[in-house]
Amino acid sequence: MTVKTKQYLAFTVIMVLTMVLTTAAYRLTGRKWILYRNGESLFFAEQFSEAIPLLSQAIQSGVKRPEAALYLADAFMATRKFEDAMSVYQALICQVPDHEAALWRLSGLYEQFGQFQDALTMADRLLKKNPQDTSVMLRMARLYQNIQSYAQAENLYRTLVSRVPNFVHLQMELAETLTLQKKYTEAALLYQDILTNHPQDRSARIQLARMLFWSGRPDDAISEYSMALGENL
Amino acid sequence: MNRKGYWIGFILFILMASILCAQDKPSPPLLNVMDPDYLNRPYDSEKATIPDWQARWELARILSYVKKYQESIVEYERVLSERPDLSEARLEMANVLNWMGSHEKAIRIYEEFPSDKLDDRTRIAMADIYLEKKQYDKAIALYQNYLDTHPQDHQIRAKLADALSWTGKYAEAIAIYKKILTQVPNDIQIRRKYAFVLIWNNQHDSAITELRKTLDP
Repeated sequence: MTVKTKQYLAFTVIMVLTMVLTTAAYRLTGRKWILYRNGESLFFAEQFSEAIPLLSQAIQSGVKRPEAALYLADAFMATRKFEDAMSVYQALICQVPDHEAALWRLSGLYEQFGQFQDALTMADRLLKKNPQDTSVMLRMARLYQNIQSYAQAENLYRTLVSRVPNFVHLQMELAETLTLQKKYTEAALLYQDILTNHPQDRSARIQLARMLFWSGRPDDAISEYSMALGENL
Repeated sequence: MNRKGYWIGFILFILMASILCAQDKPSPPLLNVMDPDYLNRPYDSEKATIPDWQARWELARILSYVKKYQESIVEYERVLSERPDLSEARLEMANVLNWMGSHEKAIRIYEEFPSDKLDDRTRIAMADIYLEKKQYDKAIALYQNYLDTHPQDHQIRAKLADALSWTGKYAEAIAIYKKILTQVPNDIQIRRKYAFVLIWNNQHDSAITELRKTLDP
């Protein structure tokens, strides 16, 4: 064996040893990261049930990345374990108070569970951070509607309708808020406006019919119902 | 530094580098922070797609409120042909039939339902129809049942007294009229009915006294 061969051999042995030692050391010192990466991969492969234990263990082992908690909470959401998701989102917001995704999803969860005031608190924090975000505005408008704060809901809906004028459902929701406040004339005008642009919109016509009935115009309501049903009484 | 130290340093460098690299590997991009579809979605999908039967049911109700009973019945029938499971709509249709004077048809529908599924208003409507059809025992049972939970309803108590008197149960009827009159002593019509039952029960003197009370002095 020549000296050169011996050198190559030694170098190869050193490389192999380095690899083995590196892997072993990583497994010893970076176990939490292995759990996290595996959990993350499963999460992105949409294997949520399998991702949950790995991400949980990673967090318990000390992984502090907000993404870990977010993926875990999202995985709970995907597997319909809403209460678990809620507590993870809450913990994440304690850790990162302005975490937008967590604030958004937690407000959605609170809304789903009828905790409208808590949902509003979360959405309000989000809106303060992104005052132009129309989706947050819409959620807040709906939440205000749910807690019967119709004036606040109306303000937000008006802003939304002016910013996103082509979304009929936003106009419909504004009309509903106006109806709930017994602002029947304004509501009727809005419904008429919607129906002028979308004469085949059955839902708008039925909502108009309901509004007309509540406002004490049953004959007009009957006529709108008939039109919605494609009939003439 | 000797050769041994160099090798140890080299191995440590490799180890640390690999660990640090593993931790700093960039994460895949976050899921969208805001739901981009949220703005596009109607809030209540049920509201967005109101089925025909639902709209027709609402129409049937409004037609009945404006006393267009015949048209209302047509709409109720169409609702029920599409959704025969809607027992509430069927009961409402029976009420409309009752209001328009089709008592026979109404009672046939009411009788399809077990008593505990009927609300008070419907049970009273049934009792009234039975009274009209001179099926007094059925009417009496329904009125008594209702009065167990609504003891202050003098109007229904008076109907019970009427029904009892028409079946010849004068003593019971008289007792009930007396009870009503302690609560509403100035109700002339109740007192006159009471007086008539006293006459039927051969209590003429008492009847005269009661009738005098109903006439101007």
